[in-house]
Amino acid sequence: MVGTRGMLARLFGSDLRPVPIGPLLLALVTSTPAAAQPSYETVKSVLSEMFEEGSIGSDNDLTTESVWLYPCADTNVGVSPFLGTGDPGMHLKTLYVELASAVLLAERGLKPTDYPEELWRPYLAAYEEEILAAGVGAAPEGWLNVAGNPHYAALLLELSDYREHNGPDAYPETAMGEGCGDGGFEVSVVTEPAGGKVWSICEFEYKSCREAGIDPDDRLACGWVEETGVIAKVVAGNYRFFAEWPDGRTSRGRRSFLDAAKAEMQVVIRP
Amino acid sequence: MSASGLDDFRSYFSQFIGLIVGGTAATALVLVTALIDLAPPWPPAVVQVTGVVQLVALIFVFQVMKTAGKARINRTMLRSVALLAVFLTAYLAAHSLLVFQMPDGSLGLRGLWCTANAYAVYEGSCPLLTRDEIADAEFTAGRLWTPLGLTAARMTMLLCWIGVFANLVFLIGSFAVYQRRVAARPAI
Repeated sequence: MVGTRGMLARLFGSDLRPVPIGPLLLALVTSTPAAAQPSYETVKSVLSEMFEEGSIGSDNDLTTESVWLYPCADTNVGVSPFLGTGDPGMHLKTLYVELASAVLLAERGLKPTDYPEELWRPYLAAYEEEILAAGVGAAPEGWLNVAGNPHYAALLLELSDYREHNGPDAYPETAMGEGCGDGGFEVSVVTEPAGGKVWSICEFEYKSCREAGIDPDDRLACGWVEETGVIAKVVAGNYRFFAEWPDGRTSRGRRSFLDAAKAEMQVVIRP
Repeated sequence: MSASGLDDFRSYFSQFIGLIVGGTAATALVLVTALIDLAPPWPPAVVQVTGVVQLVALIFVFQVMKTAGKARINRTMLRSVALLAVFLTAYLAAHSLLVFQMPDGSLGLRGLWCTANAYAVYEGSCPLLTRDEIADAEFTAGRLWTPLGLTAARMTMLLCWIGVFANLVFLIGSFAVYQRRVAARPAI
């Protein structure tokens, strides 16, 4: 999950920058009635402006060593802070914002490099098209799943091959990105009994949703990330987990990962 | 062949290092590595940065204090001791308030101003958030503190750190520059 709810912080934070116009536009387009749903292109164009004016930053701004396709960034501008949970179009808007953010982040990481745009653009376009075609209703709640998406995996391979054949010194290394979280370590997430689906959210985002008047247990609105089958989730800190089994049983809880030396390497979720 | 000013400085430098290695004073260049556990988490090359600052301070002391009288050397040493105490106290206080440990054992730094989002959630404890609150945000400092707040904290730590070592060099360097002159004076 790339997103955090830091956008409002960047808008009104004390970093003494002028208040950018992009978020205001986004608030405007996303607060239109459901009947006048903003198009994906509109949301993407507004987000693009926010990237340009610097109101969204990412890990790619902090390093010159490699390019992350899916870096940690304050992109979960989420429509949520601008809306109530009762908005019928909210989940679609959230999808638009998350998808556009993910694609723009990859674009902004790759554009300044010498990798030809015709090399990487088709993969991002294919990913975008696939997610939009699935939509909120058809796709599972872990819709974005950037890290596990085959288009992204193929793109990474393509970039790596291109770099190898055209001079490693001329092109930066590329990597998927580990999302947000510093000083973390890897754990696997399993359910017992097997077959359950698992979602997680970091405690800060959970509390931010509650603070913004969003139901923090609304997995779409609050940006929970599906962890089903994840064998190497990088964790650092406090998380909420939610699991659901095909027979209807559920489990909800909080887990802390504060010390790599003492932590168990497997998170087992039971009903 | 007559000795140049650089030869003189080389000899002075050897004596300075001799003082440190000999344990006469509480070290400087060598001490940086000994105190690495207390070093600020930022910048990554803090030992090298400190080394450069110490060398500049050493050159400065040699150039300016080479011909200084005992009274002036004493004043410089007293001032260095006082500033050393101030910078050391400030640094230790900042270290205690700002540094936190991440799950993998590496160190992170708190910022001096929270983001609006973090302030909304942790109004009571911003900007000096507890480790558990930092853990809520996956130990990602950029989500909790503004870029300006993080930079201010980094610079505060770095300036105090450099202040400590610069004054340590002034103290030991002044002592060395005077003692070598006394030693070089021909006996009557």
